[in-house]
Amino acid sequence: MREPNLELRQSDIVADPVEPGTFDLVTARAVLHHVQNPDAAIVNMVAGLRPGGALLLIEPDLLPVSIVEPPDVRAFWEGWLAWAGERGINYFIGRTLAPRLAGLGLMKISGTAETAIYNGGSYRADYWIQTVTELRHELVSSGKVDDALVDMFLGTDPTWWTRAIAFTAVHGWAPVR
Amino acid sequence: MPKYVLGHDLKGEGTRLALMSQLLDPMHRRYIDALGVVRPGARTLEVGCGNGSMSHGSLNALRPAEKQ
Repeated sequence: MREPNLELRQSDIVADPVEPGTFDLVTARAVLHHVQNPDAAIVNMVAGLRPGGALLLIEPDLLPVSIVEPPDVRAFWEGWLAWAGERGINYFIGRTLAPRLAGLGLMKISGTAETAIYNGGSYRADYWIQTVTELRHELVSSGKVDDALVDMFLGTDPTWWTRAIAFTAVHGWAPVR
Repeated sequence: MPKYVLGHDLKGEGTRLALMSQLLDPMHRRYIDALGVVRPGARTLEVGCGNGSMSHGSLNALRPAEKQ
């Protein structure tokens, strides 16, 4: 990917800010739930903002899986969450974003959570099938889900409608000094 | 620190990231547009860009239209 106004860098956002005080927008999506120290990452992202710049974070919150039907699908998600907890993945980080930003002095913090409703055979179902297929060995060997539960989850029944993630988008503004 | 579970070396990861872009980029772009901060000359930092679809797409959206 080469573009005149696009620069790809490799660095550790938990360790250091990137060019402090210079960005109009800093954003991360589906990143922080995998980070062991999200507060350090957010501090460094906030440090990147120029005065009046905006931070936009979008992260999952798996609140909806607590009510999905049928029960074996909910059992799959419970196993998934147990595995994720062991691997240090926080699938409930969405609800923590706003208070984290408030604690860092950002202004006019606001957020929304969106939950897609989808059925078997849709792109959203395909996304989860792809994800669970990639992780199948890891999931099953963790003992949190078994092969039968994974096979059930990988079904493509178009009459089955479900939901999984409340994607939580929160933004705040760096104070104008 | 535990290793990231969905590394780029996993079989099918390119497909998964492409699906993720297809599903989440429209929402992400809608939120960015609503902020009104990305204008010509603005600087954006995207942390953890996956396959790069957001940064790449934003640049294309900002590029001046080609002369007819």
